[in-house]
Amino acid sequence: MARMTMVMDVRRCIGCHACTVACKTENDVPLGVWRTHIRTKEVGKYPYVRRHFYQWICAQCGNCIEASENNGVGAVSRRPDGIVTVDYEKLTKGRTQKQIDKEIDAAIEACPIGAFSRNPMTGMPEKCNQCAHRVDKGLVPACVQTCLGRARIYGDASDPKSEVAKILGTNAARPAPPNDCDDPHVHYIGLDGNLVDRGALEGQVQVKTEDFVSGKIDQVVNGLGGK
Amino acid sequence: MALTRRELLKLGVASSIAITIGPRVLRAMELMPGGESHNYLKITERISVPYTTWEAKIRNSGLAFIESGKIVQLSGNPNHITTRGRLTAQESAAYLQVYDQDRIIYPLKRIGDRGAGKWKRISWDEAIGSISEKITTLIDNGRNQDICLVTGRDSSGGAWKRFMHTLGTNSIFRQDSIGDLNKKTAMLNTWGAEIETPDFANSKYIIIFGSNPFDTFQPYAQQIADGRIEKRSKLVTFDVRVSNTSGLSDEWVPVFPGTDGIVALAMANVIMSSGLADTEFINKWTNYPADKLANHLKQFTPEVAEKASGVPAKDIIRIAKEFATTKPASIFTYRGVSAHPYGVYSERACMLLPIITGNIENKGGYCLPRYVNWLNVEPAPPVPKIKLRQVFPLGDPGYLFPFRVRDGEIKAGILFNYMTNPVYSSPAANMWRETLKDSSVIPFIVDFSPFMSETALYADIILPDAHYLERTESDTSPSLFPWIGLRQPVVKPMGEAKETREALKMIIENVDTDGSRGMKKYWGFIADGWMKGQLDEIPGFKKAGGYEALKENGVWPIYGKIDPKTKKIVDKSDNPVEAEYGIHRKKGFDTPSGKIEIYSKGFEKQGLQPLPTWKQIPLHKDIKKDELILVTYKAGFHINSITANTKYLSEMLHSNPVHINKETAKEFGIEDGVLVRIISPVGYMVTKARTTISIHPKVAAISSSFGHLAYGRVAKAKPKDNTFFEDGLPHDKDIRHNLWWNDSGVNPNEIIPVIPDPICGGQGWSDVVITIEPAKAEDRYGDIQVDNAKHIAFYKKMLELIHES
Repeated sequence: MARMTMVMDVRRCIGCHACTVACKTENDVPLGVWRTHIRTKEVGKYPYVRRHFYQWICAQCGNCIEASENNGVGAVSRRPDGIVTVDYEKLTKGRTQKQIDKEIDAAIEACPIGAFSRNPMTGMPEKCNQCAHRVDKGLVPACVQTCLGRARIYGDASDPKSEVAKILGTNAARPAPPNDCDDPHVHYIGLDGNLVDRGALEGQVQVKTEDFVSGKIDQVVNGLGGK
Repeated sequence: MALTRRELLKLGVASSIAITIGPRVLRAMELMPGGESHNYLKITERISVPYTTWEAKIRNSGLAFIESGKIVQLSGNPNHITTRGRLTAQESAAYLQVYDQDRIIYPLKRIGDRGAGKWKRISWDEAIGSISEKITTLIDNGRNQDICLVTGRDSSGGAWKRFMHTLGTNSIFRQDSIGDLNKKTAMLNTWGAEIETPDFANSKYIIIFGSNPFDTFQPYAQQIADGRIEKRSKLVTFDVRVSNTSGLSDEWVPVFPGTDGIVALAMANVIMSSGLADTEFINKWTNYPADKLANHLKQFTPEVAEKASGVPAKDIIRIAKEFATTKPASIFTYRGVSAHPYGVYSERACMLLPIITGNIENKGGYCLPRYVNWLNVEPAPPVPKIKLRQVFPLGDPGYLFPFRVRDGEIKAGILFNYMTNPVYSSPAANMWRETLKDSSVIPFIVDFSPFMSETALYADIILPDAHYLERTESDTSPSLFPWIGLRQPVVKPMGEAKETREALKMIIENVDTDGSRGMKKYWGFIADGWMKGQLDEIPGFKKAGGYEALKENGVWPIYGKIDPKTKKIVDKSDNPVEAEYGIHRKKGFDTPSGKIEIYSKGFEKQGLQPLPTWKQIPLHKDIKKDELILVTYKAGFHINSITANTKYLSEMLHSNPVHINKETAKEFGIEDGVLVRIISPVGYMVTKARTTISIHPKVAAISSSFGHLAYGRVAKAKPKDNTFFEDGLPHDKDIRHNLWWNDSGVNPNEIIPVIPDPICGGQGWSDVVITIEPAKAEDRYGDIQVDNAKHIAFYKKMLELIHES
């Protein structure tokens, strides 16, 4: 069985936001909500300053599935290939607005990183489904295709010869934070301040991964980042 | 043969659409990295049309996906050698501009005062008629030269030049003088090409001076990202502020504005005097002997450079030695080095580093750009003999136009403005505004624009230009792999918009109705005829399928296919395609001597310094403790003016507080987030302060991508405003209901005077000396106060300073 997996190579991310925009245009994501985004932080002490990026995205951990099952009809589910999607028909058919809202709200509540949100135009759930409609046609997700630094690698981890399987076979990647995420389908290389080749800086404050993940860190630098 | 995942799926999926990518042997079933697009809601067929992007200096090749006659998505062309299926943020979002609710889609005629924003929709016939009438009157009075053109990024493939020459004028004012003119001048006079093409992917040591390629040269960003991981290359960036590039570098070296040149000279001195130079290369391929060069460089000691730049001498020595001993190595420079008075000298100084270490035209080194050049369409009109006075020895900056018109040196009977927005983007922006407002100085203004730019606001007639996705043009970019791309109308121009070339042809045909003026014969082409005229005779082009194949592929030549595993372009045997190096060995450098001209005879002839040197910026000589240098920069993916009205781009970046070093701010009594007044020699502006660790303490930085007073509702962050003319394109509900920000920034170009480079005139963008103080009680965010008399006085002072030095 396929296990679709995304590997984020933070070392290669140049913070260009090509992914953010490609995602928005692919999925017509309205202003004010995001399915993926780059979080930014500058650390250090002048003149030793560095910029860090974090590719924020749904880890497909599935916490929202349980919430949706417990608070509604379970419109959120995991496909056999691991992608967590919303069945809009199941969510709405023959149900009152109140019931729908309860199910969506529970899913939003259950997401540890705020990646489950509501589309302000339709009122429907807004979450990354790894561009399932593209994956079904054998195409990589839009953010992966356009990533300039090739900081997003996507494929089937159950195929031992695939690029993602090879990466997961080394110790380079860690599962997506937070650590209580049960079944992550997103992994990261170079998180935890471990930006491999760049070493430590004098006076540098380490960026805490959990702060990036929770959104506690999302600094606006030179206008970049910050939502 | 193994199957791709895509091919496996295909067995079950009946129809596949758009481009299919040829079969390939793979070891794993990877997903395809692009080439198709699908609707996430329903199964509707999408067709793909290839095109060439327009935004950045280095173009990409894209695929536009069309559903029910509308562009629904843009994505990278997977088989283009440098695009590799990837587009930048601004490129992906560009189709939104085609359907922009604020777009001009009919010819407009001004009905109120200039700048009042009152317009009437008119027919093309009426518009062309009144323009032709003005032109005819000027020509009949022998005033051909008073037909003026201000042009920005002209991608018309020579149509504008043809138009002007046909009318017997060469009053063309190019706005590249507010961009990279100084760099081009320096490089052309040194090695015969106006830009470098570093082989970043194979370099082991990269020094970047005053540039942010991660944001502005994104195909290079791809290569640097590859090189850093695959070749473990080291990246060192000299910049006044932390950008995406300097912030991600192994070392960010803050440097005082305009002093990169002396740092580079000191490094060259260290390399030469420690015996690390490639003297064989210098003696063979440059026109100046290594021993004499070493002697010349001795004056630029690391200590002298430290005094000027603030970069510690020990770092200069260390980085110089690392650079010289890690091979291959390369450098890259941009506006931070050259957009200063004497920036031409600084650029030449930086070029020394790869030259003296022999890192020229080698794998991983500093290479010449390769292009496929298109040809002139014949017959072409003769070049008019009258010559404008050239203001500076090697160049003539377009941004001085309002000064020269007001002086009476230039008479503008009619002004065409194309692809530039000087009232917003030029230094002394207000000089433009006031000059364009005054119909006694410029009686008639025609703007070619798809948008109501700050400059179009002052036009008498606006012709609705086609968006680049609706145009037919050839384009290319500097690359290690020469290519030519086609920009073709992905959709028909909206409303009554027309391609520039077609509009120009209409004007000529109206001025010369019966051909008796001898103008019409230069405009006999039709759209395809023009393109074929440019392309057909390019060696090898026709054999590869010619124009028809180009329309289908978007680019020629095609070097290979993308490997879904490595995302590299590979040849038939799955090996990454390699560039051809050492092209100078075949034909030399395109200079008078055929060598790299470390000693420039051309400069000598003009009374300029013939050897690489550095000159302090006259304005910075006696900078006081409470003074800072104001620098501007391009913010992320915002390009020119057009992206400011694109919702997905402005959503992420829309305001531009002034960045000041935390320690400096403390001294000045300025807290983070407060309103401040920035006072320049010509006036002041009120904006918010952001205090930060990421900037040189003597520098204040503001992005010049924001603060629009026109353009549209997103650019101004006024989503609920009404449209400015009837019958426009449909409203975007998302913008009206969900646009969540209300700060659209303040334009710093208002308080920046003209600061020309004494050699060719390119604007010094990072040189104006300012003071910053907490705002006064009566100050409001966005207040701007400037005095044009001060602009004129400052320009005079600059000319005097230039004479003195």
